[in-house]
Amino acid sequence: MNAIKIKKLKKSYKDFLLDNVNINVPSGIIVGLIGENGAGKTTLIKSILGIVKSEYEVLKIFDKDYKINESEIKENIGIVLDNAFFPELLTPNDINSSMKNIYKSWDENLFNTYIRDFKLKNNKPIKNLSKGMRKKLEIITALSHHPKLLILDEPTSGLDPVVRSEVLDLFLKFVKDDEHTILLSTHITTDLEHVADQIIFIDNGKILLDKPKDDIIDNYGILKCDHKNFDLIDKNDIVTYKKNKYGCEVLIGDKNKIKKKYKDFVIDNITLEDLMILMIKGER
Amino acid sequence: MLGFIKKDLLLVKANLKSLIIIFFAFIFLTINETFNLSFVLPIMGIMLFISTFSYDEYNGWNSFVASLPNGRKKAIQGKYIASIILTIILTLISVLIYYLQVSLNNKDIMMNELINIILSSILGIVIIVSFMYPIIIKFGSTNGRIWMFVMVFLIVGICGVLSNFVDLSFLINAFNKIEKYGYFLIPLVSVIMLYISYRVSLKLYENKEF
Repeated sequence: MNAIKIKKLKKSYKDFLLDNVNINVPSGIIVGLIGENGAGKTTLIKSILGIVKSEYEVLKIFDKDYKINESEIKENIGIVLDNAFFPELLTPNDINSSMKNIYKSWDENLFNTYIRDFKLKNNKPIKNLSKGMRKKLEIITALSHHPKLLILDEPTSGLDPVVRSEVLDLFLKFVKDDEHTILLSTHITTDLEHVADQIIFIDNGKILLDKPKDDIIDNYGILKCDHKNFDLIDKNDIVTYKKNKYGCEVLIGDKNKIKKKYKDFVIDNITLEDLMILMIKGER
Repeated sequence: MLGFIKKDLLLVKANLKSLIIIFFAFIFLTINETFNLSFVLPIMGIMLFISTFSYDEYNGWNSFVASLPNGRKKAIQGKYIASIILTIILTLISVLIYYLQVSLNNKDIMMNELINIILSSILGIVIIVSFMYPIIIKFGSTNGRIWMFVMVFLIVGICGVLSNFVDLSFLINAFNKIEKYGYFLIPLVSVIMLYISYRVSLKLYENKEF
Protein backbone atom coordinates (compact mmCIF):
# COMPACT_ATOMS: atom_id res chain seq x y z
CA MET A 1 0.00 0.00 0.00
CA ASN A 2 1.10 3.56 -0.68
CA ALA A 3 0.86 5.93 2.24
CA ILE A 4 1.15 9.00 0.00
CA LYS A 5 0.93 9.29 -3.76
CA ILE A 6 1.17 12.70 -5.39
CA LYS A 7 1.25 13.52 -9.09
CA LYS A 8 1.84 16.97 -10.54
CA LEU A 9 1.09 18.98 -7.42
CA LYS A 10 1.38 22.73 -7.94
CA LYS A 11 1.13 25.60 -5.53
CA SER A 12 2.03 29.10 -6.56
CA TYR A 13 2.59 32.24 -4.54
CA LYS A 14 3.57 35.65 -5.87
CA ASP A 15 7.26 34.85 -5.54
CA PHE A 16 7.35 31.08 -5.20
CA LEU A 17 6.22 28.03 -7.15
CA LEU A 18 5.98 24.48 -5.89
CA ASP A 19 6.30 22.97 -9.30
CA ASN A 20 4.88 19.64 -10.51
CA VAL A 21 5.76 17.65 -7.44
CA ASN A 22 5.55 13.87 -7.80
CA ILE A 23 5.99 11.72 -4.71
CA ASN A 24 5.41 8.10 -3.92
CA VAL A 25 5.74 7.02 -0.29
CA PRO A 26 5.17 3.32 0.42
CA SER A 27 3.77 2.30 3.80
CA GLY A 28 5.99 1.23 6.65
CA ILE A 29 8.91 3.61 6.15
CA ILE A 30 10.27 6.92 7.38
CA VAL A 31 10.70 9.51 4.66
CA GLY A 32 12.90 12.52 5.30
CA LEU A 33 12.08 15.75 3.55
CA ILE A 34 15.14 17.98 3.36
CA GLY A 35 15.94 21.33 1.81
CA GLU A 36 17.03 24.80 2.84
CA ASN A 37 14.70 27.41 4.35
CA GLY A 38 12.08 28.51 1.84
CA ALA A 39 12.69 25.51 -0.42
CA GLY A 40 9.04 24.44 -0.20
CA LYS A 41 9.03 21.72 2.49
CA THR A 42 6.35 23.36 4.64
CA THR A 43 4.32 24.38 1.58
CA LEU A 44 4.37 20.76 0.42
CA ILE A 45 3.23 19.52 3.85
CA LYS A 46 0.53 22.20 4.02
CA SER A 47 -0.65 21.27 0.53
CA ILE A 48 -0.93 17.60 1.49
CA LEU A 49 -2.93 18.49 4.59
CA GLY A 50 -5.19 21.00 2.84
CA ILE A 51 -3.97 23.92 4.94
CA VAL A 52 -3.26 25.72 1.68
CA LYS A 53 -5.15 25.13 -1.57
CA SER A 54 -3.10 23.50 -4.30
CA GLU A 55 -3.72 21.97 -7.69
CA TYR A 56 -2.84 18.37 -8.42
CA GLU A 57 -3.53 15.56 -10.81
CA VAL A 58 -3.42 12.86 -8.12
CA LEU A 59 -3.37 13.14 -4.35
CA LYS A 60 -3.98 9.83 -2.66
CA ILE A 61 -3.39 8.95 0.97
CA PHE A 62 -3.63 5.27 1.94
CA ASP A 63 -4.57 4.69 -1.74
CA LYS A 64 -7.74 6.74 -1.23
CA ASP A 65 -8.59 9.88 -3.17
CA TYR A 66 -7.95 12.80 -0.85
CA LYS A 67 -10.76 15.04 -2.10
CA ILE A 68 -13.42 12.37 -1.66
CA ASN A 69 -12.19 10.88 1.62
CA GLU A 70 -10.58 13.91 3.31
CA SER A 71 -12.22 13.55 6.70
CA GLU A 72 -11.66 9.77 6.93
CA ILE A 73 -8.04 10.19 5.83
CA LYS A 74 -7.38 12.91 8.43
CA GLU A 75 -8.68 10.63 11.18
CA ASN A 76 -5.62 8.49 10.44
CA ILE A 77 -3.00 11.22 10.23
CA GLY A 78 -1.04 12.57 13.18
CA ILE A 79 0.54 15.99 12.70
CA VAL A 80 3.23 18.17 14.16
CA LEU A 81 3.46 21.52 12.43
CA ASP A 82 6.00 24.27 12.84
CA ASN A 83 4.47 26.93 15.12
CA ALA A 84 0.94 25.61 15.00
CA PHE A 85 -0.70 24.06 18.03
CA PHE A 86 -3.24 24.67 20.78
CA PRO A 87 -3.36 28.16 22.34
CA GLU A 88 -0.66 28.39 24.99
CA LEU A 89 -2.98 29.16 27.91
CA LEU A 90 -4.26 25.58 27.73
CA THR A 91 -2.80 22.61 29.60
CA PRO A 92 -2.22 18.97 28.52
CA ASN A 93 -5.43 18.16 30.45
CA ASP A 94 -7.34 20.66 28.30
CA ILE A 95 -5.82 19.21 25.14
CA ASN A 96 -6.88 15.71 26.17
CA SER A 97 -10.35 16.94 27.01
CA SER A 98 -10.77 18.60 23.59
CA MET A 99 -9.06 15.96 21.48
CA LYS A 100 -11.19 13.12 22.75
CA ASN A 101 -14.12 14.83 21.03
CA ILE A 102 -12.16 15.67 17.87
CA TYR A 103 -10.63 12.29 16.93
CA LYS A 104 -12.88 9.23 17.06
CA SER A 105 -9.97 7.01 18.05
CA TRP A 106 -8.37 9.33 20.63
CA ASP A 107 -6.77 7.17 23.34
CA GLU A 108 -6.84 8.99 26.66
CA ASN A 109 -4.84 6.28 28.44
CA LEU A 110 -2.12 6.35 25.78
CA PHE A 111 -1.92 10.16 25.99
CA ASN A 112 -1.56 10.03 29.79
CA THR A 113 1.05 7.26 29.53
CA TYR A 114 3.12 9.38 27.13
CA ILE A 115 2.69 12.40 29.44
CA ARG A 116 4.10 10.32 32.31
CA ASP A 117 6.88 8.77 30.20
CA PHE A 118 8.01 12.16 28.90
CA LYS A 119 7.79 13.67 32.40
CA LEU A 120 5.26 16.35 31.45
CA LYS A 121 2.73 17.78 33.87
CA ASN A 122 -0.96 17.51 33.06
CA ASN A 123 -1.97 20.82 34.57
CA LYS A 124 0.89 23.03 33.44
CA PRO A 125 -0.11 25.57 30.75
CA ILE A 126 1.76 25.24 27.45
CA LYS A 127 3.17 28.76 27.89
CA ASN A 128 5.09 27.58 30.97
CA LEU A 129 6.72 24.65 29.14
CA SER A 130 10.22 24.85 27.69
CA LYS A 131 10.53 24.70 23.90
CA GLY A 132 11.61 21.06 24.10
CA MET A 133 8.73 20.12 26.40
CA ARG A 134 6.28 21.86 24.07
CA LYS A 135 7.56 19.87 21.11
CA LYS A 136 7.25 16.66 23.10
CA LEU A 137 3.64 17.55 23.90
CA GLU A 138 2.95 18.18 20.21
CA ILE A 139 4.45 14.79 19.29
CA ILE A 140 2.47 13.03 22.03
CA THR A 141 -0.71 14.71 20.79
CA ALA A 142 0.05 13.55 17.24
CA LEU A 143 0.51 9.95 18.38
CA SER A 144 -2.43 9.55 20.75
CA HIS A 145 -5.17 8.72 18.28
CA HIS A 146 -3.33 5.72 16.77
CA PRO A 147 -2.60 7.34 13.39
CA LYS A 148 -1.30 5.33 10.45
CA LEU A 149 0.63 8.26 9.01
CA LEU A 150 2.61 10.90 10.84
CA ILE A 151 3.35 14.14 9.02
CA LEU A 152 5.89 16.09 10.99
CA ASP A 153 7.33 19.50 10.17
CA GLU A 154 10.55 20.09 12.11
CA PRO A 155 9.54 17.81 15.01
CA THR A 156 12.98 17.63 16.59
CA SER A 157 13.99 21.28 16.39
CA GLY A 158 14.69 22.75 19.81
CA LEU A 159 15.15 19.36 21.47
CA ASP A 160 18.34 18.48 23.28
CA PRO A 161 20.26 15.39 22.03
CA VAL A 162 18.89 13.11 24.76
CA VAL A 163 15.26 14.00 24.11
CA ARG A 164 15.86 13.91 20.36
CA SER A 165 17.12 10.39 20.67
CA GLU A 166 14.05 9.44 22.78
CA VAL A 167 11.77 10.94 20.12
CA LEU A 168 13.61 9.20 17.28
CA ASP A 169 13.27 5.89 19.14
CA LEU A 170 9.56 6.58 19.39
CA PHE A 171 9.40 7.12 15.62
CA LEU A 172 11.30 3.89 14.97
CA LYS A 173 8.94 2.02 17.28
CA PHE A 174 6.00 3.58 15.43
CA VAL A 175 7.11 2.31 12.00
CA LYS A 176 7.75 -1.22 13.25
CA ASP A 177 4.17 -1.82 12.19
CA ASP A 178 4.23 -2.07 8.38
CA GLU A 179 1.05 -0.04 8.13
CA HIS A 180 2.67 2.96 9.82
CA THR A 181 4.52 5.64 7.88
CA ILE A 182 6.27 8.90 8.73
CA LEU A 183 6.90 11.90 6.49
CA LEU A 184 9.30 14.11 8.37
CA SER A 185 10.82 17.43 7.37
CA THR A 186 13.90 18.56 9.22
CA HIS A 187 17.06 20.63 9.12
CA ILE A 188 18.80 18.19 11.43
CA THR A 189 19.98 15.81 8.74
CA THR A 190 21.87 13.61 11.21
CA ASP A 191 18.47 12.57 12.62
CA LEU A 192 17.53 11.31 9.17
CA GLU A 193 20.80 9.41 8.85
CA HIS A 194 19.69 7.47 11.94
CA VAL A 195 16.08 6.79 11.10
CA ALA A 196 15.07 7.58 7.51
CA ASP A 197 14.55 4.97 4.80
CA GLN A 198 13.94 7.41 1.96
CA ILE A 199 15.12 10.96 1.34
CA ILE A 200 13.28 13.57 -0.64
CA PHE A 201 15.37 16.63 -1.36
CA ILE A 202 13.47 19.72 -2.37
CA ASP A 203 14.99 22.96 -3.61
CA ASN A 204 13.30 26.08 -4.89
CA GLY A 205 9.98 24.27 -5.21
CA LYS A 206 11.32 21.33 -7.18
CA ILE A 207 12.17 17.79 -6.13
CA LEU A 208 15.87 17.35 -6.89
CA LEU A 209 16.29 13.91 -5.41
CA ASP A 210 13.96 11.15 -4.23
CA LYS A 211 15.91 8.01 -3.34
CA PRO A 212 16.36 5.39 -0.62
CA LYS A 213 18.77 6.75 1.99
CA ASP A 214 21.08 3.75 1.73
CA ASP A 215 21.41 4.28 -2.04
CA ILE A 216 22.46 7.87 -1.41
CA ILE A 217 24.99 6.98 1.30
CA ASP A 218 26.36 4.00 -0.71
CA ASN A 219 26.58 5.69 -4.11
CA TYR A 220 27.13 9.39 -3.63
CA GLY A 221 30.51 10.69 -2.54
CA ILE A 222 32.76 13.73 -2.48
CA LEU A 223 35.81 13.70 -4.66
CA LYS A 224 38.48 16.08 -3.40
CA CYS A 225 41.21 17.41 -5.66
CA ASP A 226 43.24 20.51 -6.51
CA HIS A 227 42.30 22.91 -9.31
CA LYS A 228 44.74 21.32 -11.78
CA ASN A 229 43.30 17.82 -11.35
CA PHE A 230 39.73 19.09 -11.52
CA ASP A 231 40.15 19.59 -15.28
CA LEU A 232 41.01 15.88 -15.64
CA ILE A 233 37.55 14.80 -14.43
CA ASP A 234 35.01 13.90 -17.09
CA LYS A 235 32.16 16.45 -16.79
CA ASN A 236 29.61 13.61 -17.07
CA ASP A 237 30.89 12.20 -13.77
CA ILE A 238 30.18 15.46 -11.92
CA VAL A 239 26.83 16.10 -10.27
CA THR A 240 27.91 19.47 -8.82
CA TYR A 241 31.20 21.00 -7.68
CA LYS A 242 32.46 23.70 -5.37
CA LYS A 243 35.79 25.44 -5.75
CA ASN A 244 37.69 27.34 -3.08
CA LYS A 245 41.24 28.64 -2.91
CA TYR A 246 42.56 25.35 -1.50
CA GLY A 247 40.96 22.98 -3.98
CA CYS A 248 37.72 21.50 -5.28
CA GLU A 249 34.94 19.37 -3.84
CA VAL A 250 33.07 17.38 -6.45
CA LEU A 251 29.78 15.66 -5.77
CA ILE A 252 29.69 12.35 -7.58
CA GLY A 253 26.73 10.02 -8.06
CA ASP A 254 28.48 6.66 -8.48
CA LYS A 255 31.25 6.36 -5.93
CA ASN A 256 32.38 2.84 -6.85
CA LYS A 257 32.63 3.54 -10.58
CA ILE A 258 34.54 6.79 -9.95
CA LYS A 259 36.92 5.09 -7.50
CA LYS A 260 37.96 2.69 -10.27
CA LYS A 261 38.16 5.41 -12.90
CA TYR A 262 40.21 7.96 -10.91
CA LYS A 263 42.49 5.83 -8.74
CA ASP A 264 44.67 8.67 -7.40
CA PHE A 265 41.83 10.87 -6.20
CA VAL A 266 40.52 11.02 -2.64
CA ILE A 267 36.86 10.11 -2.41
CA ASP A 268 35.05 10.66 0.90
CA ASN A 269 31.77 9.19 2.04
CA ILE A 270 28.92 11.64 2.01
CA THR A 271 26.60 12.84 4.74
CA LEU A 272 23.13 14.21 4.01
CA GLU A 273 24.37 17.63 5.09
CA ASP A 274 27.24 17.53 2.57
CA LEU A 275 24.82 16.40 -0.09
CA MET A 276 22.42 19.24 0.70
CA ILE A 277 25.15 21.88 0.66
CA LEU A 278 26.75 20.65 -2.56
CA MET A 279 23.40 20.26 -4.33
CA ILE A 280 22.33 23.78 -3.38
CA LYS A 281 25.58 25.72 -3.39
CA GLY A 282 27.51 23.70 -5.95
CA GLU A 283 27.88 24.66 -9.60
CA ARG A 284 26.66 22.39 -12.35
CA MET B 1 -17.62 19.92 17.24
CA LEU B 2 -17.78 19.34 20.99
CA GLY B 3 -13.97 19.25 21.12
CA PHE B 4 -13.76 22.73 19.59
CA ILE B 5 -16.47 24.10 21.93
CA LYS B 6 -14.53 22.70 24.89
CA LYS B 7 -11.27 24.20 23.63
CA ASP B 8 -12.82 27.68 23.34
CA LEU B 9 -14.61 27.53 26.69
CA LEU B 10 -11.46 26.19 28.39
CA LEU B 11 -9.58 29.12 26.89
CA VAL B 12 -12.17 31.51 28.35
CA LYS B 13 -11.85 29.68 31.67
CA ALA B 14 -8.08 30.14 31.57
CA ASN B 15 -8.75 33.85 31.10
CA LEU B 16 -11.45 33.95 33.75
CA LYS B 17 -9.59 36.14 36.24
CA SER B 18 -10.48 39.31 34.35
CA LEU B 19 -14.12 38.22 34.00
CA ILE B 20 -14.39 37.51 37.73
CA ILE B 21 -13.17 41.04 38.54
CA ILE B 22 -15.77 42.49 36.13
CA PHE B 23 -18.41 40.15 37.58
CA PHE B 24 -17.87 41.32 41.17
CA ALA B 25 -17.66 44.97 40.12
CA PHE B 26 -21.05 44.62 38.41
CA ILE B 27 -22.63 42.84 41.38
CA PHE B 28 -21.40 45.59 43.69
CA LEU B 29 -22.48 48.49 41.45
CA THR B 30 -25.84 46.95 40.59
CA ILE B 31 -26.78 45.96 44.15
CA ASN B 32 -25.74 49.43 45.33
CA GLU B 33 -28.01 50.75 42.58
CA THR B 34 -25.14 52.90 41.32
CA PHE B 35 -25.74 51.50 37.83
CA ASN B 36 -28.24 49.11 36.45
CA LEU B 37 -26.09 47.73 33.71
CA SER B 38 -26.72 44.01 34.12
CA PHE B 39 -26.96 43.57 30.37
CA VAL B 40 -23.39 44.85 29.95
CA LEU B 41 -21.94 41.78 31.70
CA PRO B 42 -22.83 39.33 28.89
CA ILE B 43 -21.47 41.80 26.34
CA MET B 44 -18.19 42.12 28.28
CA GLY B 45 -18.10 38.32 28.44
CA ILE B 46 -18.48 37.97 24.70
CA MET B 47 -15.74 40.54 24.15
CA LEU B 48 -13.55 38.29 26.31
CA PHE B 49 -14.57 35.35 24.13
CA ILE B 50 -13.52 37.28 21.04
CA SER B 51 -9.99 37.31 22.45
CA THR B 52 -9.90 33.54 21.72
CA PHE B 53 -9.51 34.53 18.05
CA SER B 54 -6.28 36.38 18.94
CA TYR B 55 -4.94 33.41 20.90
CA ASP B 56 -5.83 31.11 18.00
CA GLU B 57 -4.01 33.33 15.54
CA TYR B 58 -0.96 33.88 17.76
CA ASN B 59 -0.44 30.16 18.34
CA GLY B 60 -1.08 29.00 14.77
CA TRP B 61 -4.21 27.12 15.88
CA ASN B 62 -5.89 27.75 12.51
CA SER B 63 -3.25 25.73 10.61
CA PHE B 64 -3.67 22.97 13.15
CA VAL B 65 -7.47 23.07 12.74
CA ALA B 66 -7.22 22.83 8.96
CA SER B 67 -5.38 19.51 9.29
CA LEU B 68 -7.94 17.95 11.67
CA PRO B 69 -10.86 15.84 10.41
CA ASN B 70 -13.61 18.24 9.28
CA GLY B 71 -11.65 20.80 11.29
CA ARG B 72 -12.57 23.99 9.48
CA LYS B 73 -16.33 23.41 9.64
CA LYS B 74 -16.36 22.13 13.20
CA ALA B 75 -14.12 24.94 14.46
CA ILE B 76 -16.53 27.59 13.12
CA GLN B 77 -19.54 25.73 14.47
CA GLY B 78 -17.67 25.50 17.76
CA LYS B 79 -17.10 29.28 17.90
CA TYR B 80 -20.79 30.06 17.36
CA ILE B 81 -22.12 27.38 19.71
CA ALA B 82 -19.59 28.29 22.43
CA SER B 83 -20.67 31.94 22.06
CA ILE B 84 -24.32 30.94 22.48
CA ILE B 85 -23.49 28.82 25.55
CA LEU B 86 -21.51 31.68 27.06
CA THR B 87 -24.36 34.11 26.30
CA ILE B 88 -26.85 31.87 28.09
CA ILE B 89 -24.58 31.49 31.13
CA LEU B 90 -23.84 35.20 31.37
CA THR B 91 -27.47 36.22 30.79
CA LEU B 92 -28.49 33.88 33.62
CA ILE B 93 -25.86 35.52 35.82
CA SER B 94 -27.26 38.94 34.87
CA VAL B 95 -30.73 37.80 35.86
CA LEU B 96 -29.30 36.54 39.13
CA ILE B 97 -27.66 39.90 39.78
CA TYR B 98 -30.98 41.61 39.04
CA TYR B 99 -32.73 39.24 41.45
CA LEU B 100 -30.13 40.00 44.15
CA GLN B 101 -30.48 43.72 43.57
CA VAL B 102 -34.26 43.57 43.87
CA SER B 103 -34.23 41.29 46.91
CA LEU B 104 -31.56 43.19 48.84
CA ASN B 105 -33.28 46.51 48.21
CA ASN B 106 -36.70 45.11 49.20
CA LYS B 107 -38.28 45.79 45.83
CA ASP B 108 -40.62 43.75 43.66
CA ILE B 109 -39.42 41.90 40.61
CA MET B 110 -40.53 43.80 37.51
CA MET B 111 -41.17 41.30 34.75
CA ASN B 112 -40.70 43.98 32.06
CA GLU B 113 -37.33 44.96 33.45
CA LEU B 114 -36.23 41.33 33.64
CA ILE B 115 -37.23 40.64 30.04
CA ASN B 116 -35.51 43.83 28.95
CA ILE B 117 -32.27 42.65 30.58
CA ILE B 118 -32.50 39.32 28.78
CA LEU B 119 -33.45 40.74 25.38
CA SER B 120 -30.93 43.58 25.43
CA SER B 121 -28.18 41.10 26.38
CA ILE B 122 -29.13 38.79 23.54
CA LEU B 123 -29.47 41.56 20.97
CA GLY B 124 -26.16 43.19 21.97
CA ILE B 125 -24.28 39.92 21.73
CA VAL B 126 -25.91 38.82 18.49
CA ILE B 127 -25.01 42.13 16.80
CA ILE B 128 -21.39 41.88 18.01
CA VAL B 129 -21.01 38.21 17.06
CA SER B 130 -22.78 38.50 13.70
CA PHE B 131 -20.63 41.36 12.49
CA MET B 132 -17.33 40.74 14.23
CA TYR B 133 -16.78 37.02 13.58
CA PRO B 134 -16.83 37.16 9.77
CA ILE B 135 -14.72 40.34 9.82
CA ILE B 136 -12.13 38.77 12.17
CA ILE B 137 -12.04 35.59 10.08
CA LYS B 138 -11.57 37.58 6.89
CA PHE B 139 -9.04 40.16 8.11
CA GLY B 140 -7.50 38.56 11.21
CA SER B 141 -8.09 39.63 14.80
CA THR B 142 -5.94 42.78 14.74
CA ASN B 143 -6.97 44.09 11.33
CA GLY B 144 -10.53 42.86 11.96
CA ARG B 145 -10.94 45.27 14.86
CA ILE B 146 -9.70 48.13 12.71
CA TRP B 147 -12.18 47.18 9.97
CA MET B 148 -14.95 46.99 12.57
CA PHE B 149 -14.19 50.55 13.73
CA VAL B 150 -14.03 51.73 10.11
CA MET B 151 -17.44 50.17 9.44
CA VAL B 152 -19.02 51.68 12.57
CA PHE B 153 -17.61 55.13 11.73
CA LEU B 154 -18.81 54.81 8.15
CA ILE B 155 -22.34 53.86 9.21
CA VAL B 156 -22.50 56.68 11.79
CA GLY B 157 -20.92 59.10 9.31
CA ILE B 158 -23.30 58.18 6.49
CA CYS B 159 -26.29 58.52 8.85
CA GLY B 160 -24.94 61.89 10.03
CA VAL B 161 -24.51 63.19 6.49
CA LEU B 162 -27.89 61.77 5.40
CA SER B 163 -29.68 63.41 8.33
CA ASN B 164 -28.72 66.79 6.87
CA PHE B 165 -30.61 66.06 3.68
CA VAL B 166 -33.26 63.51 4.62
CA ASP B 167 -35.61 63.40 7.59
CA LEU B 168 -34.61 60.16 9.34
CA SER B 169 -37.28 60.43 12.01
CA PHE B 170 -39.36 57.87 10.06
CA LEU B 171 -36.75 55.28 11.10
CA ILE B 172 -37.21 56.12 14.77
CA ASN B 173 -40.99 55.99 14.30
CA ALA B 174 -40.65 52.62 12.62
CA PHE B 175 -38.60 51.30 15.54
CA ASN B 176 -41.16 52.67 18.00
CA LYS B 177 -43.95 50.93 16.10
CA ILE B 178 -42.28 47.53 16.13
CA GLU B 179 -41.07 47.88 19.72
CA LYS B 180 -44.18 46.22 21.09
CA TYR B 181 -43.37 43.14 18.99
CA GLY B 182 -39.81 43.11 20.38
CA TYR B 183 -40.34 40.01 22.54
CA PHE B 184 -41.06 38.08 19.40
CA LEU B 185 -38.93 39.99 16.88
CA ILE B 186 -35.63 40.12 18.77
CA PRO B 187 -35.22 36.33 19.13
CA LEU B 188 -36.31 35.82 15.51
CA VAL B 189 -33.97 38.47 14.10
CA SER B 190 -31.17 37.13 16.32
CA VAL B 191 -31.51 33.61 14.95
CA ILE B 192 -31.58 34.87 11.35
CA MET B 193 -28.56 37.16 11.89
CA LEU B 194 -26.55 34.42 13.60
CA TYR B 195 -27.34 31.93 10.85
CA ILE B 196 -26.34 34.31 8.05
CA SER B 197 -23.19 35.27 9.95
CA TYR B 198 -22.31 31.58 10.50
CA ARG B 199 -22.70 30.78 6.79
CA VAL B 200 -20.53 33.75 5.80
CA SER B 201 -17.86 32.86 8.40
CA LEU B 202 -17.82 29.23 7.30
CA LYS B 203 -17.42 30.17 3.64
CA LEU B 204 -14.57 32.57 4.49
CA TYR B 205 -12.81 30.11 6.79
CA GLU B 206 -13.09 27.21 4.34
CA ASN B 207 -11.44 29.25 1.61
CA LYS B 208 -8.73 30.71 3.83
CA GLU B 209 -5.10 29.58 3.63
CA PHE B 210 -2.95 29.49 6.73
